[in-house]
Amino acid sequence: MVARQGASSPLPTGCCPMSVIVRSIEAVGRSSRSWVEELGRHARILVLGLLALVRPPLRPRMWFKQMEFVGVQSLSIVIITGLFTGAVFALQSNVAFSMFGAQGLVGATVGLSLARELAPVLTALMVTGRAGSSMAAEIGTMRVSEQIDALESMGVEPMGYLVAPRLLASVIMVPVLAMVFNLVGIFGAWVVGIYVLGISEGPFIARIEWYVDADDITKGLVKAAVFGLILSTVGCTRGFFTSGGAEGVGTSTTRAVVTASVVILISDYFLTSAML
Amino acid sequence: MSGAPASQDVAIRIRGLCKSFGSQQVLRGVDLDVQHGQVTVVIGLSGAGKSVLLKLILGLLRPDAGSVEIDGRDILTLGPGSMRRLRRHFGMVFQHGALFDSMTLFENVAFPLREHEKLPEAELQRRVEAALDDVGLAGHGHKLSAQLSGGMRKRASLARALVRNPRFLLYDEPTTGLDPIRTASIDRLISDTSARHPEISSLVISHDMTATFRIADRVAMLYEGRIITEGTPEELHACPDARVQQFITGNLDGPIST
Repeated sequence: MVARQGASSPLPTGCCPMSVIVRSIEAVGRSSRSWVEELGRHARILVLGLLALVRPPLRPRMWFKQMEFVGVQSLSIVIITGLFTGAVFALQSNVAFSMFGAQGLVGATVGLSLARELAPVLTALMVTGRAGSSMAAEIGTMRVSEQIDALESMGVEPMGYLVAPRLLASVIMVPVLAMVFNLVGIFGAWVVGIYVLGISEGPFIARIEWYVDADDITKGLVKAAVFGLILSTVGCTRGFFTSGGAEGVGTSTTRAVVTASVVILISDYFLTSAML
Repeated sequence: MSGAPASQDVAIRIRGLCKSFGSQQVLRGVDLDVQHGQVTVVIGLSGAGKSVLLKLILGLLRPDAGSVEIDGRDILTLGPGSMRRLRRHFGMVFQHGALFDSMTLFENVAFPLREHEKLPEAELQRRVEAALDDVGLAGHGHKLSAQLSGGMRKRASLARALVRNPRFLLYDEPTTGLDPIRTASIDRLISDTSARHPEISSLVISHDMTATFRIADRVAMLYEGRIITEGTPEELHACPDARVQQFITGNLDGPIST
């Protein structure tokens, strides 16, 4: 057994401290290389996809088709999520504000939280689950069934045909959906605030107008656009580098959702810090 | 087996082609000529690297060493744009069709025309219907690829490959997975296509010997990463190499281990 281990690796084997250190360094090296490779793949898809947006042939039909898929088809799920997020946030903030008789601030608090944080992040996470996963699954299936090879064999650039429309559609439509999230979220908070909690409508609306300004909404929409770019880049990259048949497509789809969600949440912190 | 063809007769010239994936060396110096207007069949064991060879010819993979010349132009010296333009002269018939799932059969066949030729809709329709008719799929244009049988998908893939009148046709195991009747029908289709379009040079990847002898003008055998024999079907039959004879006859006993 020792001889076989020795044959596969020229490095020290066994349980001595030196071998444990060497194996740990090897593991760290392998993991780091894998991370760098992944990062490189995502950067490659992002750069080539964006370049394909300005390089002929331009494909406006594909762009609008993807906008319809990412935007219009995500509308119902974003409306439901926004409505209930606003409603539940109104309920929760009322608990805190009623302690010192400031229920009139419920609307403003919900409006600010939605505009600056909840709308872009939750919209991006919902679109990741619906459209980002679908991008990985569709492109991954095309990869394993040789449809991408077929495109290339016909002299069609897959970046322009598959990736660029998805990047563009996500960057445009995620902010649009985030704006819809804002509006229905405030509507949900208004319904709960006025009809369930009995807050006066005048102060509720006035405080929203007073505290939530265009800058808050704009910053939220900029974040949404960045999140759109992240979820589409991850979805397309995972799909593009799929291997291993149906199982590989499943793995790519799951990893696309997990990776995009985590990267969205991490980048949210840095974007927020930069915009404060 | 037979002498090398004159260079002006060669459509695709491959020299010293090597390709590895990780530690696995798939091609170890392939030399092969595909002559103008002929059907050349490359035979070999499953996993011998035949499909890799096709992808190298199309520039979908980059070789570790060697050269691929198409009509005298080394494709390794071409930039991405020139390579894409060159690929437009190729038609590729994929093993499982590789039809686009989201499109009907008609749209699949129309796809390369829509991409590269700005035709009036009536002319496009005429060309697509003619291509479908050529492969015996007239009247099926409205079907989605999921509604097509394995044989129909291969025919559809051939129609898509033919619709732009390519100069080179590449077939990746066109009869794999088909019953003997449908295999014979695809073989006839390849032979008819070759007879109708003598300007097309075809390279077929196969391990089906019956099909190979039906369609081939020339046959080459790929074994352990190299072409070990090349010649006419008759020359292949007479080849003294025990590996070739074992492959042709399908014997379990012989130099090729199972």
